[in-house]
Amino acid sequence: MDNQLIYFVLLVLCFSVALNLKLTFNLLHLVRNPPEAEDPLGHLTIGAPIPGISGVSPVTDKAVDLSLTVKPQVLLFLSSRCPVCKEKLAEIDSLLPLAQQAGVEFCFISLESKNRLGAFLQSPILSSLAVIVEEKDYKQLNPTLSSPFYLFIDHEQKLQAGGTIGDEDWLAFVAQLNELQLEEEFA
Amino acid sequence: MDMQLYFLEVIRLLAAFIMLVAAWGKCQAFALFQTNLIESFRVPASLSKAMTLGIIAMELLLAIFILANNHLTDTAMWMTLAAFIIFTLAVIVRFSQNELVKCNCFGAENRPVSALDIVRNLLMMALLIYYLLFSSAAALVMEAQTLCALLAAIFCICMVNFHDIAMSFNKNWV
Repeated sequence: MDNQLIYFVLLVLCFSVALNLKLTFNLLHLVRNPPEAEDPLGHLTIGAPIPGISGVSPVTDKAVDLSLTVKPQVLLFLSSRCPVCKEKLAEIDSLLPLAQQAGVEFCFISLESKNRLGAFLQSPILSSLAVIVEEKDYKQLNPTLSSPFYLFIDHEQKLQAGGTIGDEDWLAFVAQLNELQLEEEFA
Repeated sequence: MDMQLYFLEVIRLLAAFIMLVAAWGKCQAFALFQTNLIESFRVPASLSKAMTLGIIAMELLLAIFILANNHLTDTAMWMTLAAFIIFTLAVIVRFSQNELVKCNCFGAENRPVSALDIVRNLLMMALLIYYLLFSSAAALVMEAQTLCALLAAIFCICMVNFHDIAMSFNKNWV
């Protein structure tokens, strides 16, 4: 057998051990300094007005200025790439009539192409609520690009709450909508 | 003896091991792979099971023929190259459509396909082409073959985990 081969094997083995050590220490570093969970709200502060952004409606292809709305809004950030978002979509669909009664507007903010978004939202009613924005604007509202993510905006364009759909504030909002519905049924 | 003979032997064994690992990984994550065929590659649901079984069988057969090191090995290497090309093209097409492509080609990885996986496949293709260009029938002694198998095993692990190895160089990687 060739000595050259043995040298080569040794070389590869040494390299592998070095690589292994390096990666092990990287892992050790990571275990000791776990990355901090980023605040999904980023620089947005509750009670302050949100940055005014505009986008394009996928249905009418017309420009939409989000800051012109005078009604309280729920901005929804769902991505066709997240499996959970699909489940949330059904929930939002069922909330839609309740929200309309309560005078709250839903708005899907998206980065995706018109076709993809249409295929994801499926119903034309939901698509008509969508606004496609630029990535730079999207990041102003949802800096960590998290989904399913929401922002509650009051009639003065001030941020009331934000977080992951299904968290405490979201559940409180859903409960409120249901209560309003019950009250109206009584009346 | 020429080092090239050893390189060729390592490439042959590496291809066989990768095919074995791929078949084994897909068996372990059978249902996942089947779902990915439907969701990421738009294979009709009715075909997905047969296709998963077919791919696993093909990989196993290729691995066996490559390991056998007989007159069929070169053909098996050609077919492995073809499989890599077809698969990589499929991924590139889905990838360029900006879709989330999951593969689970080597088992239950909880991540979509990345550009690094494509680089890995290109590298593998280059090695296969090198083998096919220079392969010869010269036999190696047992000891040399064992060492080549050891090298191939190390390279196989590096190839399969290419994405994770590259990513873990970054200390802030999660």
